[in-house]
Amino acid sequence: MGARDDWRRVRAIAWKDLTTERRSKAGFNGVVALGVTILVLFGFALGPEAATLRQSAAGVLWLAVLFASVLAFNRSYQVELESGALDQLLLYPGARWTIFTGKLVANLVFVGLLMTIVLTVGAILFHVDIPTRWAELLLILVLGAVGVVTLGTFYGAMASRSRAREVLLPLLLFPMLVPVLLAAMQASKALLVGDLMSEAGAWVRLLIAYDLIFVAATHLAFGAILEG
Amino acid sequence: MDAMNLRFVVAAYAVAWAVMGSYALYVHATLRRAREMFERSGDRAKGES
Amino acid sequence: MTVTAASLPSTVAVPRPGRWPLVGVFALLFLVAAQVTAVMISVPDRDMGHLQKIMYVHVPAAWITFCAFFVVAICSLKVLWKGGERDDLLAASAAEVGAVFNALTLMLGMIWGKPTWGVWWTWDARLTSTLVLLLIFIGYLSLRSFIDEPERRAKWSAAVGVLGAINVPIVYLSVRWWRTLHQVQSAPSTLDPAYTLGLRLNAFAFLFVMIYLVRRRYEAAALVRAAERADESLALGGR
Repeated sequence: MGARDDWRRVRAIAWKDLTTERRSKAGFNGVVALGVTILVLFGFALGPEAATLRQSAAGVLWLAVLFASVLAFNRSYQVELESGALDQLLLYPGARWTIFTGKLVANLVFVGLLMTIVLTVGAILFHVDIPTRWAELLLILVLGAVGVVTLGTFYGAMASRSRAREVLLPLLLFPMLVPVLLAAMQASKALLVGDLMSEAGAWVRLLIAYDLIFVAATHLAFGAILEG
Repeated sequence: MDAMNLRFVVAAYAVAWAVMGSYALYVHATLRRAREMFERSGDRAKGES
Repeated sequence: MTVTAASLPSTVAVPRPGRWPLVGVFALLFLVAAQVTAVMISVPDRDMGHLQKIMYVHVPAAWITFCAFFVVAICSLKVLWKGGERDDLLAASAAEVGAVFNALTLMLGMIWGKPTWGVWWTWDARLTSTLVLLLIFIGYLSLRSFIDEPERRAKWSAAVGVLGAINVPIVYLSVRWWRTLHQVQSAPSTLDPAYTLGLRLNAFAFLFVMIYLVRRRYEAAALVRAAERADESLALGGR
């Protein structure tokens, strides 16, 4: 079983995840609709003055994506749970971490699509202008998404198999995401509203470090939570 | 000014002792319950054998 | 208390109270002595006045919080490495004690902050990080309460414990950047050396209290586990 076989497995699992019934359009549409609804509610909470909305846009957009993504993370394991497929997956020869990576990739694609739509709608609702440093902003979006999805996929594996999964996943996940959210929100805000302290660079470095650390740590720890 | 601050000092110590005290009581109550549980299961084991 | 461990099958030695009740009495007396001494010998601070005395409960509580968290991290690593039930129960006990002292640290921080800064909360880096730490503690304890199987509970909470431990310094760093980039926060004044004796005394006193409480909590957890195991093997028909 070489490395190429492992990556083939990753691709297979990711593809399966993205195309199964649970990942159907209905599911995706629902999550996107929720994200947009959250945006609207924040709009009611903070608006309607354009100045306030523009200032809070970065934070609100990330929160909307986060809250909607939580649904995706729990559902990521739903099919396996219902059909007992997880045990079958474990019977196949191959590295365990590939299961995690496969799901991680699938969730990344899902959240990526979610972000594209929610951020577009959010930019309109919150009077956001495309910044000159949009490439940097894109980088922050990607790094932040990786951080959120990595831990979300990991904790989702546990929460979805426990009682009270709806409350357990956010309860475990949100405190752990504080660095990612802080960095992503502050860096995004700096790029959108004016980077007075040139802080975006520092936050990007934090995001990179965080992502590297936790992508590694979750892969190492996944074996412990997969069985049992 | 300092007399007013004394209120907070007293409050701080009161809170500290209240929290630690009640938690200590909780731990001892839990321990007592655990011991009872253990002894009961021990009796069950003896009864069966 | 007489416990005939031989009559029950066990993989973890059933804990005996031994001399621990004495330790508890000692810890309590030492704490009282340390607190009284510290309060008596400390002179009102130039800036803070009598508020300085709050340090003798607030700072040790914070140290114990991190001490307990450290124990959780080490035990969690050991569980992932070797999978011992004793380490798992110790981690759980330390987590509970840590959460209590964490909450206490926050409360005392607020009580100190109100007369100092005029508000109950300031989103200051240390206070905020401590709050996030409490949320991580609570997540850990909640996870444990939602899993009934001991084997799974040990492995899963160990994973969560280790990840949480890795995150603590990162959380602190990111919150501190967040604060320093936007506002220079007046940090609590560095402690006058005159106060270190009182602080050190109380640090040790709190440490003894923590060790005692963790140990007794562990005893309770181990006894419950032993009882459960005995009932299990009984249900399965004999030892």
